[in-house]
Amino acid sequence: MSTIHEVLKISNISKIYQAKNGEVEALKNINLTVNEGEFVSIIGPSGCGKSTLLSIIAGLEEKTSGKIYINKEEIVGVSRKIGYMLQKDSLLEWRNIYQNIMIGLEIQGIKNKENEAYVDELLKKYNIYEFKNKFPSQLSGGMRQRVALIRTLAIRPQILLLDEAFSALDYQTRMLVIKDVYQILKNENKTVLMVTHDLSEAISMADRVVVLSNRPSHIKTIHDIEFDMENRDPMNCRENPKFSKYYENLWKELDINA
Amino acid sequence: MREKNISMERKKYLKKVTRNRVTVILTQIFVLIAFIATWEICANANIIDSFITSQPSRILNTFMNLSQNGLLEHIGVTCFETIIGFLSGTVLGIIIAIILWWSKFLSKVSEPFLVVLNSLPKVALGPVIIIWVGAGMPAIIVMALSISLIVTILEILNGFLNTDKEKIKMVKTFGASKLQILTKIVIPANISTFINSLKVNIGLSLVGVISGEFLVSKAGLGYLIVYGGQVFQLDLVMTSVIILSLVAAIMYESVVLLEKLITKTHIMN
Repeated sequence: MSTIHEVLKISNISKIYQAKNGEVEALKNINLTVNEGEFVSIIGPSGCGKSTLLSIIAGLEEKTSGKIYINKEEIVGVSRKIGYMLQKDSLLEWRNIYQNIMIGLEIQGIKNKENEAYVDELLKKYNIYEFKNKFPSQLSGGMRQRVALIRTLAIRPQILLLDEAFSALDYQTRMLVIKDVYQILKNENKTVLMVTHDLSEAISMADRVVVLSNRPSHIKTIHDIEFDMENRDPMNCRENPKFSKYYENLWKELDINA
Repeated sequence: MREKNISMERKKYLKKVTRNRVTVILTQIFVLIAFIATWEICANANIIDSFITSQPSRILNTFMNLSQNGLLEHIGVTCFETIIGFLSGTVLGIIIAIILWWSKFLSKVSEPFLVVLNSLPKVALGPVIIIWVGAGMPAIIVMALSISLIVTILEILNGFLNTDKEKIKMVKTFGASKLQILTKIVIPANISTFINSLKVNIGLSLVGVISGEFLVSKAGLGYLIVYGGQVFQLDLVMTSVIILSLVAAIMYESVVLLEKLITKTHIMN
C-alpha cells in the first residue's frame, strides 16, 4: 500500500428538522473520513439519525449545514459517484434480472458497450449470468439481495452506502448474505460506509466502527476493529476471542437504557 | 401435470373439482332455460299479459328481423358512443391523474372538488350538458365521459400515490428525474390499476351512454328502450335490454382479454 487515499470526507454536517411543533436537531457537527478500500460501519441508538446521515450523503435529504467531499471534490445533491443499497432489494417485478441490473445505467444514460461488458463480467463472476432472464419472483431472498448489490455496483460507484441492507432478511439468510456481500465488496475493493443497528453485524464486517450518540447525535467514539487473522470473513471472525471484547465495549459505548 | 403416476387421492380430487364445475354450469343453464320456458308458457296460457311482459318467442322474432327494423344501426350507434366515451374518459383520466401526481399543490387544491364531483349523480348534469353541447351525439358522449372521468382520475391517482416508496427511493439513488420515476416505476407498477379502471370504466360509459340516450337521442339502444316504452311495444324494449346486456358482456370480456394479453407480455414472460 502506498499513500492512504481518502474517498469520502464529511465535514461539519448538521441537520435540523422543521416540524409543526418545533425544531428537531438530528445531527450535530459530524466529521468523518473514509479511506479507499475501507469498510466503515456506523452504529447508534435507534432514532439517532444514522440513516438520515446516509440519506444526506446520498443527496436524498438536504443538510442544514456542512460539506461533503468525494475524492476531494465537493458534491451537492445526488452524486453518481455514490452507490446506495437499501434495506429492501426493491427489484422491479416487471423486469427480468438483467433489466433490473441495468436500471441504474439506463437512468444515468450511460448504457454503452463498455458498461454492458462490465455488467456481463460481474454477472459471470458472481454466478447470476444463468439467472439473468429470470424474474425476481423466481429468486430466493439471498439471491435477490445479491442482484441488488450488482445493480448498485453496475454504475461503478466510488463509495457504497449500505443502509440496514440486511435487516429485512431472516437470520440464516442474513448470515449467508452478509458473507456473500462482504466477499464481493472486498473482491471489488470497494469503499463502504454501512449503517446498522446490529452490533455483531458491524463488528464482523467493518474495519472501523463509528458510534453515534443520542439526539442531537454527534460522533461519540471511533473504534478500530482488527482481528489479526488471514482470510477474515464475517463468519469466522465471530469465533475470534476479540469479537466478544469489541461487542462488550461497543455495547457499553451505546449506553442504551431500556 | 409433471408426474405421470398420479396417486388415487389426487385423481379423486381432480375429478371432484371438474364435477363441481360442470354441476355449476349445468345448473346455470337449467335456471336460464326454466325461466324462459316458464315465461313463454305463461304468456301462451294467458296467465301473464304478453302485451305488458312481452314473451320470448316475440323477442326472438324481433331479434331475427334485426336488419329490417333498424336494430343493427341502433346497436352500432350505442357501441360507437360507448367506445368513444370510454376511450376519452380513460385517456383524459390518465392524463389528469399524471398531472395531479406531478404537482402535489394541484392535487391538494383539486381534492375537495373531485370528492364532491365524484359523489354528485352525473345524470343531474344532463340538462346542462344538452344546453352546452347541443342535443345529439356529443351530449351523449359528454355524459358518458362525465360519469367515467372522475372515477378514473381518483382511482389512477390513488394507485400512483400508493406506488412502493422504496422503489421510488431506489431509482432516486441513481439520480432519476421526475419523468424517469414516472415512466420507469410509477406507470409500470400500476398496470393492474389501469386494467381495473378500464373494467370499471367500460360499465360506467355504458351507463352514461344509455342515460344520455334516454334524454336526447334519436338513435341507439337507450332511445329504443324509451321509444318502445312510450308506444307500449314491450317486445322492442325487452329485445333492446337483452342486446344491451350482451353488448355489456362482450365489452367487459374484451377488457379481460386485453388484461390477459398485457399480463402475459408485461409481467411474466
